[in-house]
Amino acid sequence: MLIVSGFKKEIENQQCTRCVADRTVPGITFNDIGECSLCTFHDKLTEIYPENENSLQKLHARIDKIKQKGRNKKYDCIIGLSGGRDSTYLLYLAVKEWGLRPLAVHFNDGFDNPIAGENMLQAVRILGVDLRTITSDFRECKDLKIVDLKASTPLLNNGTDIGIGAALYSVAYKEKIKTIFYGQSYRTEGIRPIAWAYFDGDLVRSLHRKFGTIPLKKWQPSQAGYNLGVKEMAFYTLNGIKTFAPFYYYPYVRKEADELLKQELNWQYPGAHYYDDLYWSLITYVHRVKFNIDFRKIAYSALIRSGQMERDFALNSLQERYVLEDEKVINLCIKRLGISREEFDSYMALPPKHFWDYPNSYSLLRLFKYPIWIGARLGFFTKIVYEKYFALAYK
Amino acid sequence: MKIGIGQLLVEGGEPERNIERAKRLIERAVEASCELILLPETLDLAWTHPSVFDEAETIPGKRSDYFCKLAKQHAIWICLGLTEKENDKRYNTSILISASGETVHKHRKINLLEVEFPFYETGNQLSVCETPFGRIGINICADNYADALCLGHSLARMGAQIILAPSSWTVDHSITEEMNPYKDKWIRPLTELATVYEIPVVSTTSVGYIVGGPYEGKKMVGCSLAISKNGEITEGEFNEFASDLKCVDLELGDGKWKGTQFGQMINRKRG
Repeated sequence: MLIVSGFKKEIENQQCTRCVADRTVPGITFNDIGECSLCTFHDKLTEIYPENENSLQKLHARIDKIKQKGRNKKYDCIIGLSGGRDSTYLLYLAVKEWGLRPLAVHFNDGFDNPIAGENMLQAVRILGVDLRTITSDFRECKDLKIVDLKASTPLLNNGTDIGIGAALYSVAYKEKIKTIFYGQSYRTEGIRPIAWAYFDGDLVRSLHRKFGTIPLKKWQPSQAGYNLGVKEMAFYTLNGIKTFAPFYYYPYVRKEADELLKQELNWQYPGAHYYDDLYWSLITYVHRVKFNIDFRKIAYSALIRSGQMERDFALNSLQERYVLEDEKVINLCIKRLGISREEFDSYMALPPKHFWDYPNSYSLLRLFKYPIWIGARLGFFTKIVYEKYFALAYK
Repeated sequence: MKIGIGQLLVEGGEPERNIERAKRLIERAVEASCELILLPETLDLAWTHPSVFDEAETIPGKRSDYFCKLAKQHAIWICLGLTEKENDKRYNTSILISASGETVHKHRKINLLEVEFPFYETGNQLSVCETPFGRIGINICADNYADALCLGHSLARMGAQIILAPSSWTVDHSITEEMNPYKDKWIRPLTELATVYEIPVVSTTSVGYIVGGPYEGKKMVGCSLAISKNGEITEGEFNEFASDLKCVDLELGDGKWKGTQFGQMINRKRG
């Protein structure tokens, strides 16, 4: 008996012989030598984005193109900034190594880790970068987080994820900037199956219709709020706004990034990955207790595959509860949501669900699978989007 | 007089975290050789946060005592805002602590906003305090509203050679860095006081997101102000998520006028 995403399954657990992923990851399968499908997926991505000179050349060619387009404009691109390692390092590289003039965009939902805030302030000050902070209406933010608890799926930060995307696109539209950089790296973070990381503004809307208590602000192209469904995505894409993940082409080594950021930008480690957002403390707790989910299995596995972590170290670390799960911060989050511990516990006791138990746009996206494939080839978004949504098993 | 403008990140209902951050700002001000640090209004619980009803403390009390200890330890003057409890009443209060750790002055906010009425009682006193720097007057945030400037005028006429105002200036959540967040809402009245009486006026606001209470959905974005006695403006940076310190050297007013001389001086200036 094993609990997968909160559901009891009549299966024995099995762990990959190469990484630390196991059968608690939905959709995972194993080959004859005991290696998991996530490792196979990683190898496929490495074929698409090999770590070699050719990739670096592609990266520089793309950057040159972006610079050319940015000529006579104030900014070349937008970079999403959270104050965590990945986004701060990306900002550093963009300015110092690639000579770009980015506009940093931060989305504030009221749960920023103050350490990350200090990191952002230092980074933009030292690098001489303009920062645009898009702040949500906290009443909406709170409502959406409670909606996610009531919906009882592992997607507990749906609203914020959409809010971040919407903020980046709406600033890009307002400032007429055509490229959005983001600091994702499958080599260091891994790719989570969509059962754990499905990004769909229409799902947010449908959950909000069912469980929300206050109306959400309406979408405006340059002030998107929490609206980024298929329709809005199509609008921004047709307006020529593209996303780009430079780390897919760049030999990103976390340890080196840490040292450089500390030295150059007085950067402080927030304490854990994702801890630029205090709400992840609560999410990690709910994931462990209610869904038997440990995201470290995805991230550590990625680091093992890319030679940045020893498997034994990862296995030992997984025995310990993640530092992200801090009782004081969990209580802060509950208090900030304006609910009592009893109310929170009542949401914990709700039966688990999947995102596909609620109306969403996944079937529509599947219908547009081939246009999305073409969009990925034309560089409107990374090829990984297509792979993650249509090639990686998630059930 | 070197003053540290301590734009503190204040999280609603999180006194321990806020006070710990205030301590770090005080240490930074000491490193920067400031003689006084001015911190924001109600920095313990945040302005109009619902925790005011259960978690306010007396003055003197454990929170004010802690700041007195810090002032003495670092030999720095501290002016800050706290949520004060007295019997069953609560006040939006600011205190001035000397470098030897004594609370030498206390002011309770007078010009409360309507949304504050359920949270705080109205202050009923206004006074100035003699210090080695000169006479210091303290008021709080909206005490300096353009339509309440009689309070600042009164402090100046009591002989204040500088006015310090811990604040929590709020703006709508949609305001972003490229905008002028307050327009002339604060600059105009503070500059009026500074230039009419030839005294510096300094107001430090908190930064952060309002998470609870009647102003939930608004935020504080810094841009604190120090206006010199000649009307020169020093502004804190726009930011809503990190504490920050800005230092400013200010010459205090020379305290040359008294009583009716103020009226004569003002009339002369108006020609």
